[in-house]
Amino acid sequence: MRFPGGTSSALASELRAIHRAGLTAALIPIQSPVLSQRRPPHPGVLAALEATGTPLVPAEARVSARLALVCHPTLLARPPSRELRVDADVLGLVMHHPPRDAAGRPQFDLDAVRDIIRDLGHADPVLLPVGPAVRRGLLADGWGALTWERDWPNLIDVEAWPAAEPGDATERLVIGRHARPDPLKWPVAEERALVYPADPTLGFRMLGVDAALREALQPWPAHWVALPFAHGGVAAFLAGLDAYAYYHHRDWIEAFGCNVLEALAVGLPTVLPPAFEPLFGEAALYAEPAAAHGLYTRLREDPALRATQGALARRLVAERFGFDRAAERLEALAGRAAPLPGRAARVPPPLPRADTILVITSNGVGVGHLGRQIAIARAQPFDVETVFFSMSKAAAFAAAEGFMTEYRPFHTAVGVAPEPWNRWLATELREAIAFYRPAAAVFDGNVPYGGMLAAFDDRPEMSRVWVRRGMWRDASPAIASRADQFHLVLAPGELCRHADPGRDGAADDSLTERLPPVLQLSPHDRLGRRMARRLLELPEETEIALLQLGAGTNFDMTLAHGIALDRLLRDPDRHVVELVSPLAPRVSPRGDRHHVRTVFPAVRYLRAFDLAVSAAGYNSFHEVISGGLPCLFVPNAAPEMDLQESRARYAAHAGWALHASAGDPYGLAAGIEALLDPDRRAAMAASCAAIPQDWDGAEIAARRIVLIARQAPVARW
Amino acid sequence: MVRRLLAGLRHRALRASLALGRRGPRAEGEDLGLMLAPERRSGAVALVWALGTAPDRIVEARLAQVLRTFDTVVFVTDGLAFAPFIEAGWLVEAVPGPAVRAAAPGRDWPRYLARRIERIRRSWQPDFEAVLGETPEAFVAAAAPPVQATASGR
Repeated sequence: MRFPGGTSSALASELRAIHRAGLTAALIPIQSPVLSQRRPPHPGVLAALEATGTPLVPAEARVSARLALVCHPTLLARPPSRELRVDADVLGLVMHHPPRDAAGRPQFDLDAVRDIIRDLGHADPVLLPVGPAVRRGLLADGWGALTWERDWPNLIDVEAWPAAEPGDATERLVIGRHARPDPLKWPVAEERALVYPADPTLGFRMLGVDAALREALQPWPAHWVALPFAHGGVAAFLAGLDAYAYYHHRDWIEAFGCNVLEALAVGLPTVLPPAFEPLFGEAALYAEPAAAHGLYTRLREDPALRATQGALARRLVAERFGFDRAAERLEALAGRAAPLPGRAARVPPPLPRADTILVITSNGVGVGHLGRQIAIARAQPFDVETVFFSMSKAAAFAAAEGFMTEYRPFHTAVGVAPEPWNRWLATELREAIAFYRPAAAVFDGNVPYGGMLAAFDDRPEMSRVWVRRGMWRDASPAIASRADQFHLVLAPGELCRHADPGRDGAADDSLTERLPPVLQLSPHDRLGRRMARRLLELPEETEIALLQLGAGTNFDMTLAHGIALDRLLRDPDRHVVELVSPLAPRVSPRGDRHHVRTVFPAVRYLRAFDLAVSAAGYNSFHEVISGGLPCLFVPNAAPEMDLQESRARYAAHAGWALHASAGDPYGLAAGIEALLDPDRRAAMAASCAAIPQDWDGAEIAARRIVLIARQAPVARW
Repeated sequence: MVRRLLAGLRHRALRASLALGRRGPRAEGEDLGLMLAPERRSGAVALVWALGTAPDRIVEARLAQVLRTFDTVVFVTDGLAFAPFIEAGWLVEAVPGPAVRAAAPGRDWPRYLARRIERIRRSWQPDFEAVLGETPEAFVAAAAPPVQATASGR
């Protein structure tokens, strides 16, 4: 489910087709060793899982089925890291890749795959070539006895692809192609000039081009329009074309060609090299590279030919590759073998045990990392058990939410050097991991500790997730590169992402999954104004200002605190509430209109307030903005903090909030005066409400973490 | 190793006085005294076990007085509301308490806690130990699941 191209598209279609056929499927995620271990799941597969309600089964859970499909041969090219307990009448190995490339070089060791399947207690797999090209390779290598007599082509829901509207223009023909950005998906230079020629009557649009590919294909011709790949954007791209043409490298054997199938499904007249003819037949037109230009000219000059060929393509694709094929071929395959000898009558499998997730949160001056993970843990389904292993002195908040919580001191809390502390941490974590036996460990912090990674390495079957907040103050390539030691890197969404210098390495990193902002509480779950004030024991009617400038343990907020409190209390009808961290020194109220409260999560009570003066940490910032609470942000600019200044400045420029520096008495005074202006407050609230943003990052993170927890990660034997 | 387990230090009943006796250099080993910063290694270390109890302010004040002669004081608690200890300048370690154990009753808590307590002792190398509430050993024993009554054991 992590393959970037056709393999994942095929899986997504298979799941939807099975669901439509009224059959029941479950998915067991297994990592393929040929991909980077932290490549995120394919969006198309994720969408199909949600749309069909297909359950994700933990890799080691016992599953009984008539048919098990292994959806790429490399999934079992090495022994899986977790015990697979699949009890199936037939095991099919979907051959999405030929055993050799065009030059005859082996692509994987199919003997090893078969041996591993045997050693796992299964009969030999049925090899399912996705098309004639793969079938030829299998037969040539002597795998004919295990190869099914029929192909197992990718399927497509033709009705889900809007039909192209053929034009009747003859002056110019717009031809397109799309593929993942891989040089092998492109012909060699001399053939590129033939199949995508410079001709003023022809326009070429190429979807799926990134900077690296442009570099590899230099010089990039001026008449080729390059478009970056965007999941979900293919249909719109195809709708803008008159025709389609796909040629690839000589060394590449296209096992199937999902991209071609999509073009044919919308009814585009499609030109392909002759090697595709056994697969797509009359649905496409075929030409050697030297003849492609002539075929384009014919299509340009003959609108009727384009319309006829397009309609034929759509009809044939529906007949040969439509979802209606799914039930029949599954039945044909599953029914071909008698149940294995000794198989008892099928009994319902036991319910899989709860997945345990070990959440490790770093030390912090506030509760940002811990609070974010509590929000994500709260969004987990009931069959997930979250254990917190926190270095935050506010770990009690996680326990109060009902999560098993352990505390371990950070090295600064005990004054010991990082090196011995890391050795100690490794020992402590090894023990905790051995005891709780988590399916996944989730780390929320800026620096994945060496001791933590060492402990992880001792349990290769455990998946690892790094929740990495952006806005790093300093670049640290050595730290950023530790992303490669995780199976998934999630970046909580940043409203001010355009002000993020990208020092976490995410800017150049397509493998990081970016989430919407992660809030500690959904905006819908916040208490109403009256209830929040009652619970905080505040007056119901008067204006109340919120003051939350952080624990003050690493940055001097004394000036900002004093100026804000003086000015806000000067007006006799206004009350001020300070929400203080349990980590902060105790604060004594200054009179009966100054209230001090410690609550968690503070955002639950946000509607109690009419205005705020706040630091600009990730959680506070996004909670205030998502709640449309007019605010003066005073960033904590301590060296170890994230770039709160950038966040606050960006929000001020966008009109969402006001900004003043903690050391600037004049800016602070002016900022608070502006905050007290009702018109300015109304404008800020309106600007915040108009931000087009999803706020469900915690829910998405929870789903991703469960998915990663249930996969069998790449084994490191 | 010099270790005096002052079991007489009970919640609300601080009656022991700690006779401070510095010992020689600490033993070297992979994880012996791992949590002691270099400047603390030659000083006196006290471990205060606050298990199954929540010391009140009177006890905290008495403790602070008694423990002031130590260079390092580590409070080991089975709760997470340890802010007062940190405010008092003490270091804190925490072990899972009854609420955590109750959330996962099927696990081998006695073994886990016993090993954790042993690691705490190894990594801090205390000269003295004081006990408020339960002793570490009683705390571990209390984590064992209740024995099922049998016919022969009635």
